[in-house]
Amino acid sequence: MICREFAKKVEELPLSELGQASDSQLLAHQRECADCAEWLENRHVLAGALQVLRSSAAGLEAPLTVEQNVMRAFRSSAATTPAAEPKPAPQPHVLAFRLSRFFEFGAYAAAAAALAVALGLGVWYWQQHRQPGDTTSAQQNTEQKITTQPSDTNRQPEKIAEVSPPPKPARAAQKVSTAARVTASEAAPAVPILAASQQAQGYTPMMLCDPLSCSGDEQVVRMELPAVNGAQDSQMADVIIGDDGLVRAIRIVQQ
Amino acid sequence: MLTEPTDEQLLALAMSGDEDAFTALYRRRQGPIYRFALHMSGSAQIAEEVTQDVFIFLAQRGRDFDASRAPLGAYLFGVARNYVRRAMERSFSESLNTVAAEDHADSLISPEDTIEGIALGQLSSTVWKAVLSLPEHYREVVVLCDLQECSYAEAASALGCAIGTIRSRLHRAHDMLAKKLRHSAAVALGIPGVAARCPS
Repeated sequence: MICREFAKKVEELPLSELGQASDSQLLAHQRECADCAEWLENRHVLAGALQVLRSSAAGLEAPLTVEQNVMRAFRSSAATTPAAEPKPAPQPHVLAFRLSRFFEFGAYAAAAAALAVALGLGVWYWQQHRQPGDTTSAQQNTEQKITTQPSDTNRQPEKIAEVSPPPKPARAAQKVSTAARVTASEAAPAVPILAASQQAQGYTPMMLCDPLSCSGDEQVVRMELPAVNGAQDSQMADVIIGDDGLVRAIRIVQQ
Repeated sequence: MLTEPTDEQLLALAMSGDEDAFTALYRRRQGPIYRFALHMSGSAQIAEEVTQDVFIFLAQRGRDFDASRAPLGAYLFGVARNYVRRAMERSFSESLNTVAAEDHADSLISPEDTIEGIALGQLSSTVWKAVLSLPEHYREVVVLCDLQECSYAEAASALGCAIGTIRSRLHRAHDMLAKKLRHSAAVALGIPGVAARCPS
């Protein structure tokens, strides 16, 4: 033990308990270090002196007049302060009460509600998975319609747009991975187009693409295709871009 | 076997209007408060005034006491400390303290005392003067921990500071007291060299 540790340990002891310190390390250091022994001795003397002062004042108390004044003040304050109302019997906590009621009766209701929600989700899921089949039948109907009315197949996308919902910003067009240059003035408004009618309108569907649905967010963009094999004239094309940014169908525009 | 009610229980009864409970609480706690004020100020008059003010404060504002923050004893010491400080500021007591302490210290020695009693009385008055000459924040830890025998935790609650602060202040106060007492002893024994080395 070094002197600093000794002083720190002694500091932790109240002055009155210094004489009763029985820490072997403290005692050993006290034997070894004369300075610390002297310092501790001074503390013992100080403790003794403070003990004398403490015992000389031990019997001192406030005179009786102080007690009388205090009690007079207590009575007057008790008279002015309304008597404390008796506390009501402790009520069970509202939340705890409600929880206990829930676990008593509400558990059945909760189970029933969970069952209803599960049933609802199941029906909804089943309906979601039935939709592709419905779409196929709708496509078949459209194909039949196209076969019987060939003049409809030449309708331009702009004409279809008259009955379609208002177009959305052409954000998907930015995703088109093509070297083609798109002229904004030539970009046609977005048109949802039935997948089955694409071919009927002269569009060639791209391979390995999902068919477009009626509720999709497709766009028709007129763009200039890059010249191929040294051809000087560029070729214009209408491209149907799905809401995922992929090209679904393309139609060469005859200039 | 009946156990004595705690301070907090007595206060709760007193606040519901039980005068006996308040009397019991006063009689239990007035001595330490009076001695604390006396040791801090060195004046019996201030000590009486402070004791009275502390218990009147308790009678009027006892409902505000929160037992979860500190024991009632420490709370009362904290209130007393504020009243002592106010009373001492009012009466310029820093300069008057010594005179008052000397007056009171002399009263510790009665004519019937034996030589040993007189010596003890003189010693205690010397120690008291040394305590009174300490700066206030050192004096209050010495009075609370050494003279009132409060624990460090109680003193920390009363003074509103950390236990470590109490410990370090007490250590410093003990060093200062030891130096002052050595100086007083040197003066009493007429050893000028020691007295000159300890100008405090």
